[in-house]
Amino acid sequence: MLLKVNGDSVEINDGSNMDKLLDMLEIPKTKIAVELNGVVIPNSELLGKVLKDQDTLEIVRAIGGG
Amino acid sequence: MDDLLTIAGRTYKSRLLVGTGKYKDFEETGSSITASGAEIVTVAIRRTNIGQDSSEPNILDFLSPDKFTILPNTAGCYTAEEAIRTCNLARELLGGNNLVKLEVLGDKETLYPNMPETLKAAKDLVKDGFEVMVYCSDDPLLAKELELLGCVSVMPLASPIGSGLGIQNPHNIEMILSKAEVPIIVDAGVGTASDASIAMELGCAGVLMNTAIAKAQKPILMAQAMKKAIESGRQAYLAGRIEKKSYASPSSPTKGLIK
Repeated sequence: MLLKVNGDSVEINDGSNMDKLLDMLEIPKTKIAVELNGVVIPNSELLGKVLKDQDTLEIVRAIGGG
Repeated sequence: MDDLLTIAGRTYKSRLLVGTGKYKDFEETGSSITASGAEIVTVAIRRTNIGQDSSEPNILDFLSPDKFTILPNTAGCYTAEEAIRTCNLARELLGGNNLVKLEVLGDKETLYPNMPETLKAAKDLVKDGFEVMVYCSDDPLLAKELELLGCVSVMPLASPIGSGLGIQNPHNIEMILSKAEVPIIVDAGVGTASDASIAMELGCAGVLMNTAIAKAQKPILMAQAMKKAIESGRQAYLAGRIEKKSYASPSSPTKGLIK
C-alpha cells in the first residue's frame, strides 16, 4: 500500500502498523508525535495503529527554536 | 522576599525565557541555557527526517522536561489552522503538556504576527484547554483582547524577531502593561543586555529571547549577562526609579559651603 509520510510517498506491506513503519523509516519511537489524516494519534495507541492505503501521516519531533 | 513569576499557576524564579534555536550544537545550547538560569525554554515542532540515524540525539535528551518547562512554539505557521495542528502535535509529544507559545506569522520578511489569525487561533486553543502564551504585536488593544480571550501570558514583540533592534516602542509596552492582568513578556527583538533591562524596568514580567544569546560571539557569556540584566532591571523596577527632570538637582547640600 502507498502512504504519504511527511510529504513523501512511502510504500509498505498491506496491514502494516505504525511500529513497522517507524522501523522501516528508521525513525525513533519515542519523543515523536504523529498525525494520521489530520488527527493526532494518542501515544498510547501509536505503535499498534494499523495503517491503510492512501493514509497521510505527519511525524514530528522537537527541535531547537525560539 | 521571593519575587516569583507565575504563569498558568506555576511559579518560576527566573524571568528570562530562552529559545533553543540557532546554536552551534546541543552542547552549546545546554551550556548557554544553564548559564542563563532560564526555567522555561522554547522548542519548535518539525517533521522528523525520514531515514535519519535513529540513535541521533534529540533536543529533549538535553533539555529534560523534568528540569525545564518545555514551551513548544508554532513558529513557521502562517494560519490559525497550522498553528492549532502544531499545538495538538506538541501536546501529544510532550505527554499532555498544555502550555504552548502561539505564534502566527504574517510575513516572511518582518516575521510580524498575523493578528487576525493569532486571535482566531488563541480563541480555539483556549477553548480546547491549552494554556496559551501568545506572541503578538505591541498594539495595546489587541494585547488586551488576547488576555480577555484567556491567554495566560501576552508577549508583544520589542522589534522584529532576530533583529536585535531592542525595544522600538517603549510607550506601547507601557500602555499594554498599564491594562494587563496577566504577565506581559517581551518576546523578540532584544539585542543586548540593556534591552532586556529596559523591558524589565518598564515592568514587564519577563523577557523571551533566542538570537541575542545564540548568535552572540560568546553565547554562554551573553547568557550570563542576560541573566544579570533581567535581575537588575527587575530590581530597578521594584525599587522605583526617580522622576526625570529637565534640569539638575545637586546631590550635595547647598548649605555650609566655604566662602
